[in-house]
Amino acid sequence: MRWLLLLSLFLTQLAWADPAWLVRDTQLRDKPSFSAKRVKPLARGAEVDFIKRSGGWIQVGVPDGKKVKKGWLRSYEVRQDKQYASISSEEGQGQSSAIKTLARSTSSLFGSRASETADQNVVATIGVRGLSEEDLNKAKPDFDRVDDMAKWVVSKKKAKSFAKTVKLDEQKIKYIEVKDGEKD
Amino acid sequence: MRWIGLLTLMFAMGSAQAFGLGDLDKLSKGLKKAKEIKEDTKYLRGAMDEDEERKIGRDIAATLLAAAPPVDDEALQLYVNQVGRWVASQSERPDLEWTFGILDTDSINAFATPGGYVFVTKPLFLLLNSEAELAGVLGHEIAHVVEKHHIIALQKAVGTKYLMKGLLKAGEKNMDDDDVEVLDKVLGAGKELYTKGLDRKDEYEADRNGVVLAARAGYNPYGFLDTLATLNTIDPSDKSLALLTNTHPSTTDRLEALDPVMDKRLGKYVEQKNAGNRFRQYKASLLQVAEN
Repeated sequence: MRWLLLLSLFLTQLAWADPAWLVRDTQLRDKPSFSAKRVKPLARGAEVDFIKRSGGWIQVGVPDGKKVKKGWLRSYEVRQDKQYASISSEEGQGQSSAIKTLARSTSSLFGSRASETADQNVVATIGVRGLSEEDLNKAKPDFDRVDDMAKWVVSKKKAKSFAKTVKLDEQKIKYIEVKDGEKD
Repeated sequence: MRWIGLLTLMFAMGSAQAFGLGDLDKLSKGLKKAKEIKEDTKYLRGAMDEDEERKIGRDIAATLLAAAPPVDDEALQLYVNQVGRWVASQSERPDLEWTFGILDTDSINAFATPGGYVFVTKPLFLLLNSEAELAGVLGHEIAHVVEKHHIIALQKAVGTKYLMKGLLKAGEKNMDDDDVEVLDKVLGAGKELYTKGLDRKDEYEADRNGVVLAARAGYNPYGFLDTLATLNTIDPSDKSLALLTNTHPSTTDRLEALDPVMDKRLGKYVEQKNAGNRFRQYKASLLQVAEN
């Protein structure tokens, strides 16, 4: 019997083998459509089971009592990246892991701050170097810097062949118009 | 605009009843004239010689770069120019001298200046996960340049003549006191534009046009929604985000404006390339340089 139990445990694990996490508070919908019914509110940081992708939508399973409720979310609301696991709606408990990762990368821009890389509050403790309102207001134009960038300029033709190396195909698509009165 | 249409319709209906057909004819002539005037002012908005526009863009870029220099990594800068030029090639202004750069600062942001200068800050680059996401961010900035959002805003702030007089003198050696005063005023307006931001409606428009540019270039346009969602996970009071927060609508508002209008035109391009591998190589080397 014990191996059966183990096996069923293993199968359950398999069924939940594709976890993903929510990057924002949202609502589970019963169909992949904006007009679909909202069936369950979900909190940022919650774990869901990734099922499949369809256009800009992702089908997921979420625990609902003892059952699993299936439904749809916008694909950007879900990340299959564990760093988003600990993001919770309550920000009071220190920073999210996404921010910690960012803190590590930004803090390492400061050679002398190496000892602070372990400090998870590093982003909060360092000032914003370079593009704060104050920095911009006292900046005097540096024309050498801007003219020096000309050496990196790429021709249209060169850019096209670079695009071809990863098989990017050009499309003809019109801009999206919105009606007046909508957010515009 | 909708209410103007309604008003016109009501007016036209009212006058058709109250007056004879001759009056209606007069009315329609008047409407036609009004339309012509509107077209003229539309042409004037942002009207400027391309060289002049580029010169103004260079002046403002020089100011931004004084506060935050480009990252000293030639391979990375060439990479972002390749991707940027490809996306810009899909725009209505493919032949500008498009110049892209990653800036060394710890502020999370991206900027464009008139004439085709586009900058992404290093920490924003490090938050991205694919070339499709980079294309979305660059597409947003390219859209500002194509629509001349900054030029129009500067013209509004200081007037066209003043703007030309001031910025065209910048970088010249033989400026008299008057020139310096005008230049200071105009550069002040420029700085204000980059610290207070554009009209919020320009930002929503750049979001919509930017994702279309990314899709035209063969990328998955939904990468940009991922970027906005990532930005949305950062505490808005975080100092590294201060300038972005001050100059843009909230990322929640941007997501909610862009998301529902994307599928109709762009839904079928969701399977286009993310080019994640190529992007991550550059990201990894940038991280390595930063850590050493």
